[in-house]
Amino acid sequence: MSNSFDHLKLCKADADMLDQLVDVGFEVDQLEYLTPEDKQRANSILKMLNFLDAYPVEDASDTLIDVTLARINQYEAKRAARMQIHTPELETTRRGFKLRMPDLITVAAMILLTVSVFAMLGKSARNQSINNECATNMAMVGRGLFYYALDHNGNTPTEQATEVASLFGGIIPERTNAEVLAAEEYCEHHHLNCPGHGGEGRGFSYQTQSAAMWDEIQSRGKVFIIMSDLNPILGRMLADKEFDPLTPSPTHGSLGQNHLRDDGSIASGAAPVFGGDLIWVLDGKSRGIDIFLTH
Amino acid sequence: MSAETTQQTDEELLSAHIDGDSGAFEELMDRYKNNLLHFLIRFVGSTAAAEDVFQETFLQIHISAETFDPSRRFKPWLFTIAANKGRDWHRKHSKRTVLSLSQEIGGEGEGTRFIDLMEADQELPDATLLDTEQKDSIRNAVEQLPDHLREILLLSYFQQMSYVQISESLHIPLGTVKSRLHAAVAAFSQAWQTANSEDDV
Repeated sequence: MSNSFDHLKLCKADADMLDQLVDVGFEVDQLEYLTPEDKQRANSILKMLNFLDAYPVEDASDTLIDVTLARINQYEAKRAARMQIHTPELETTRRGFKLRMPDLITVAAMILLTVSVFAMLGKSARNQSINNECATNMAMVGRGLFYYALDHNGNTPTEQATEVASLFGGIIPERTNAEVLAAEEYCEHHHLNCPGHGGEGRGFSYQTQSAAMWDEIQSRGKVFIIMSDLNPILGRMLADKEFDPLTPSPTHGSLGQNHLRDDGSIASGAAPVFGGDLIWVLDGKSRGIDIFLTH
Repeated sequence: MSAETTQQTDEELLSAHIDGDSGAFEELMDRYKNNLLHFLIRFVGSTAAAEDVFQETFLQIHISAETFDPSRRFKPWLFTIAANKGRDWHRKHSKRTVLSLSQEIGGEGEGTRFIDLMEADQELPDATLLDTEQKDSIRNAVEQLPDHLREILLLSYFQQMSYVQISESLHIPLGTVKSRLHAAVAAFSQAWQTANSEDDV
């Protein structure tokens, strides 16, 4: 943008005079020993600059200070909330999950607890290690969601899941967009993947709902799954091929799949059924509402 | 606001704010509300945007108050933060187009043109007698300036900040500050005259 002006310069006499005027705060009377020509040049520069005074501006409104103070108070309230200990809770909104007063200490404690519980399960060492790291990554994404929501009026980042619109009768649903969390440093990019997945494409699946369904979910008041290990049957569904809704995630061997719940906890299911709802898709029986995770 | 706060310096008010004096910050804002808002309107181009940046600026002042060096002046610090916030605003809303001025005219090296303001003065109207249309032309001329020239022009002319103060505030070399102000004044002059000559046609 600057290139358009690089060819413009003041002539040397104007430039020197402008420097002198800057030194005296544009008070030409403070310049001593000016020749008549210098004085005329100084006045010419000032006359040009005086046009800047004609730039139309408005005085501050009566409310500007009050609004600014309110903004500062809002910032302080948010900062205070971060320093308190609360149980992280979520509520859903039309634009995604809405969070209430999460706390770093609580979430950090939850992560440690989650990892230690997984460590006691004692399955195969490799799968256990993958499962633990997956749970830790998921917890970090969950923490990122909490803090993102704190900074964004309680809303979490969403994106349009156009590729699964066919599964929603042509309506484009919304899905949590965890890439935003990594891009804005609410978590690290490697947290967005389960190490058992191998790193190709998205490593987790995220809650996907049509806008109208968010309110319905909220009204049910049930435990809600935010994200999980990768949904293994999505591709077959989109291709309109047969699939087994009880297909487990392949990322942890026989250890089932992890899922982050809206109370901030992480659970591991040996089978892809959770709280009466399938994690992945409907099991063929209509319940009017379902947990649908896509990647 | 008490008589006591109105007699305190800016720096003392900021210090009082850090110590928990709830009225001190309000007094600081009151002192600069019009001066800062006018600067921001000229910088970002609209009152609504300027009010938003004004709030951002004082929020940043509040957040960073404890890092302020009390041996320095408050006003340059305030306008430095405001300029940074204004630049952030431009980055988020960078859809402005910039006039291409007399690029075909030669001078020092290919394409350089030297503006002599004393020559230009012979055709200039009195700034106090400008009509609404001419004031709009001035606004357009200012808005055509790239941000890095405009902020230096505004800091220098309206806030009477010295080259050294601007250099320290914006963390750019002294020579760059000078050359940018020279370019800004030349560009503003050229844009203003171009706009006026178009109006005359």
